[in-house]
Amino acid sequence: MALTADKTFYPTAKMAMDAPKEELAYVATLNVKGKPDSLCTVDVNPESSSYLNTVSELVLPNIGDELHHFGWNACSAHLCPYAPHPDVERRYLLVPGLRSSRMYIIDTKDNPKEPKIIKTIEPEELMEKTGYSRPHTIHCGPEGIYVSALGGGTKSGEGPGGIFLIDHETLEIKGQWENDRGPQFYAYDFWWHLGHDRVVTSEWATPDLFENGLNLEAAVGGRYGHKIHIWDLKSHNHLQELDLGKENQMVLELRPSKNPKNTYGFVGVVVNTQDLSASIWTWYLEKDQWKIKKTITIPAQPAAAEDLPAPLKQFGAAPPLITDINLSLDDKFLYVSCWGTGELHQYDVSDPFSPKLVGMVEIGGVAKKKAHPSGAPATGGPQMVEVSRDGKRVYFTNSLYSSWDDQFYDDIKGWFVKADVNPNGGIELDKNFFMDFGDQRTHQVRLQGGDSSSDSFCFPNED
Amino acid sequence: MEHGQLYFFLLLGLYHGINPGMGWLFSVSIAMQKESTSKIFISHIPIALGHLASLAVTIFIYYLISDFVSQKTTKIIFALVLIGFGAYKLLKKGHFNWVKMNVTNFDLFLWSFLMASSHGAGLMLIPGFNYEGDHLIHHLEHFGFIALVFHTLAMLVVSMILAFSVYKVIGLKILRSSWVNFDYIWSFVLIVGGLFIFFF
Repeated sequence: MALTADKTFYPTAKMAMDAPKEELAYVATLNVKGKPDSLCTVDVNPESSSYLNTVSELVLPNIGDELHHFGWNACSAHLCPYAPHPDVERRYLLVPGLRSSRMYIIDTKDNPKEPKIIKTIEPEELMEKTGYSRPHTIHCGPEGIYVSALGGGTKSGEGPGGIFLIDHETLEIKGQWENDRGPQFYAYDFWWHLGHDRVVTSEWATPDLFENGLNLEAAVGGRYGHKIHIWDLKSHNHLQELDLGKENQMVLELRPSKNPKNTYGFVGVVVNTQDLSASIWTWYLEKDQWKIKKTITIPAQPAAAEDLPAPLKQFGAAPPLITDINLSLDDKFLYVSCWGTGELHQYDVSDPFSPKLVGMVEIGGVAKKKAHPSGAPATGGPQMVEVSRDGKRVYFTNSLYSSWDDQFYDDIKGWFVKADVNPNGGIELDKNFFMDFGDQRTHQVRLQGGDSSSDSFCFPNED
Repeated sequence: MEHGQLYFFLLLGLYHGINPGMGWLFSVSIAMQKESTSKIFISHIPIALGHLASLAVTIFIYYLISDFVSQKTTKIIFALVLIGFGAYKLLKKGHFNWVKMNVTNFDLFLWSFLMASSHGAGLMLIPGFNYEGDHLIHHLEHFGFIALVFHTLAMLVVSMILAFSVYKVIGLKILRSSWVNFDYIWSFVLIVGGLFIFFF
């Protein structure tokens, strides 16, 4: 415990936009060729002599973890007024293996350029203490560190999935979060409206439906998740289920407004099984009832069968496949990864019910296979997207999930790129920023000191 | 009541009022969430009452014990409790668990009561009662009430002024520029108080 407040904590989201520029990015990389996964530390400071180099690679001690998402032990939520403790430090990265159900706790404090594993939670312990497996999203919050998990607490991981808690001081598992889960069965992402004591969770599927690749038959049959759930943060009880309709398969990333006064947020749907479109939905509170409506539709793009991977040849079109979204700290721009069509869209969501497409970059794509402006060939498409706290830089990578990568892309090679943001709308790929990771498939990026999806705030913006 | 004691209770009132964990920060967030300056003042009523209730419970227990055992034993018990609690707060990991932002007045009362109790706010006041000296110990009931009211009023005024200034003038940037770890100071005050009871 420190004597003063952690300088990376900000009371409001808008204040966090004044944060200094990030100098390091932590990039999770996955290896499918019999080698362990890694956490790579990348120098993203253009003034530095090691700019755009991996300054250290922390090779994990096990094979087959399948790194995916990860997050910090502490964040701006430690300024929340009911128990303010900003003296807790943002120093540990909690890095789950989505396939192995193992979690690594990695210390970045002693040398931020060379983080070290200080603790490993083995799958058996995780399953026994939480009743879950396949840990996924990490958010620091009021009761400690919250982790979503996609599978139940067995090797095969039959549902329900859910959320469990880790103590942010002792880094010990506290147990399952839910009190009454109601009809909730599938899990994926979660986040909250801290000012209103509400948690929102989304649905991908249970491990039997994703570990061996996308099951097309199940998707057509509407068997992947198509709902979001609203919970009470205090009682841990399920309150409401919002069904987007069976045809809207896989409801993934949740991005609530960063202003705790607001009661709306955005969620991405991977695919509509009737027309292969993807969509963004806005959830909102109206007279004590939570509601949701579709606010962006991104249509599939016609393509010749010979340009398409096997599962898509029969459709003659490339589906956008929204796999990740991210919201800038001022709630102004929503970034949408279209992993299938190889596009990253930027929407002005100042009015959350009528987003406007204001920017787009193209790279990769199942049919277009567009190269990076540097000339480097690019497999895969925009996937995990992270926005700097000041909102000026957008970083993204290209791998989704090993077995799904292989279905949609031949011999995918990991890359990490950056786009620069025009504050009035518009994005452009930085032609000098292309990092080739080769056989290491790149997943989530976390920026040193925090980014647009790492922190929660208890105080409304002051202006 | 001697002047020294009055100052002691007022000073601790000032200290509790400054501590963001005792209410002013919660009050600011409520005012911001509801966009209402009057919430600063309204929210302070349950905050002050909760604080007062927690102190009253502690002092009541103090009297109860002093009725049953000798004054010397009471002193030793409370000296140990203060030192022990201070050391515990210094060493323990984990925090008071409250997650609700959307609060009623009763929630705020309860929150303030629990926050003051879990931080040992009442214990911190005990050295002030002890200072009275042997011959006055049986007249403390009346004096105790006045002392708590003085303390709570001081805490209330300081907390309200702080909340109002932060909400209206200073802004939340004070949380980044002026934060000190109150847990450490809090623990030391408790330990010093325990030593005081023990030796005086």
